Amino acid sequence: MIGHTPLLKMRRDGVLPYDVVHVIDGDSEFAIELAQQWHRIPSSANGLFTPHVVVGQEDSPERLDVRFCRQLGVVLEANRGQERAQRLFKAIRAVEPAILCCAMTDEIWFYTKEQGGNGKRIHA
Amino acid sequence: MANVFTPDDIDFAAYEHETDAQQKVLPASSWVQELIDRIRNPIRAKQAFMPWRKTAQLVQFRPGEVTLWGGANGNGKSLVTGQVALSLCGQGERVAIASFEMKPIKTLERMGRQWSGTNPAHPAYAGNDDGQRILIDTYEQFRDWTDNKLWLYDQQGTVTTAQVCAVVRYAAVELKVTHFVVDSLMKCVQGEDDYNGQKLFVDELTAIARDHCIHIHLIHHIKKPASEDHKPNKYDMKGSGAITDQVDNVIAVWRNKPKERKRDEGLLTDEADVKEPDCLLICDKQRNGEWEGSIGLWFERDSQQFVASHGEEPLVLYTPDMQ
Repeated sequence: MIGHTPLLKMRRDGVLPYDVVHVIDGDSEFAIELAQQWHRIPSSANGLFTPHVVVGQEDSPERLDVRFCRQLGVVLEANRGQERAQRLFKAIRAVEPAILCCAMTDEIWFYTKEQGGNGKRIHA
Repeated sequence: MANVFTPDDIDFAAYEHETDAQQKVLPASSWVQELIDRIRNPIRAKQAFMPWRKTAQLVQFRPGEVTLWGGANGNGKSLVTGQVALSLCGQGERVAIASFEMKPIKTLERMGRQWSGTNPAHPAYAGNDDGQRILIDTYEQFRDWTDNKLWLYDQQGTVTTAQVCAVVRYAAVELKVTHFVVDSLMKCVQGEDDYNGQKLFVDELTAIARDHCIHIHLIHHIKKPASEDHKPNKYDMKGSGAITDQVDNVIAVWRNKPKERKRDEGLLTDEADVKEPDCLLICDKQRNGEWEGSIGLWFERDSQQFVASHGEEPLVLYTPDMQ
């Protein structure tokens, strides 16, 4: 996993980023660059430091420590198949983010802390 | 728009502390699932190798790892790591060296000698124009060859750990360096008995290596051995035991002084010279590899290279001008 260390440090220091966290399960060079730089260079789109965390193929969703997502808005970009996406969604949901969403090919998975349970699945 | 941060409404440190056990004590099935994932999608991690063919299946340098190179003073740690750095450059890696014990020009003088396989102080090069022309041509080739492959951090003496970490991060992010050599740990952490400082520094380096997918080579000294004949292991490293606990690989460099003594006393037979190496690389820990053991190397004086067997030619990266 790359990019979570600065976010952990921020949270341990008692501050939150004013933007959603992008958790990317993929290994594109662009994603890795974002994960390495997000805390140094603000997004050109909105001027905010937008956390990007890249999950490597070697990272097992069941063992992933994603506690940094707690009470934050999280967008999961799952690029390694539906089965792994479900496992990652479940792992992030377990730490109770404020909002979690993941867009798959023909449906969007959506969870909010208030709704609890399995969240809402919106079919496209 | 200004960068905006908001205060965290939970005590995150307390939350982490409370849920630590819950996060880390997991059913065995989660690891078994990982094994299943690996069978489905085998991960072919990028690896870099040592310069010697015989070591390719034994030791690998993987991204995200830290290798600790240990050894006594004068046992050849910097020579070996210099040769390893050249080999890494030859494999297409981008290497940076921060030596706080040697000036960059001295480091490059040694590496240039290893790269060209010749001794520039050899009488054949002295006092004649042809010799000088060959030397200049060699070093011009070396200069061009190092472009976009090799960087050096110009700082001698003691530095702070924060400075070193910042330099490693800069090299990884801005220069896209894939291997960083820090020579040595004791120049970065003030006080040999600052065990917490050493632990925190190595912890930070492991985090940088992991976050930036680079390999960090950290050079370290060993405690004064009772005898120079003692072959060091990971328990002989100076300072905190947490250093070897945290790094991924531990390699000790041991110079075979008993053999040198025998040679000086005229007691070294040809057979023993062939059989007994001049130097051992003792791999005492390899977290993500299966092999641990010793690698024997022989020293080739002119090139200052270590070679895989007695009498073997040094690896020459220099191409003589045939015109």
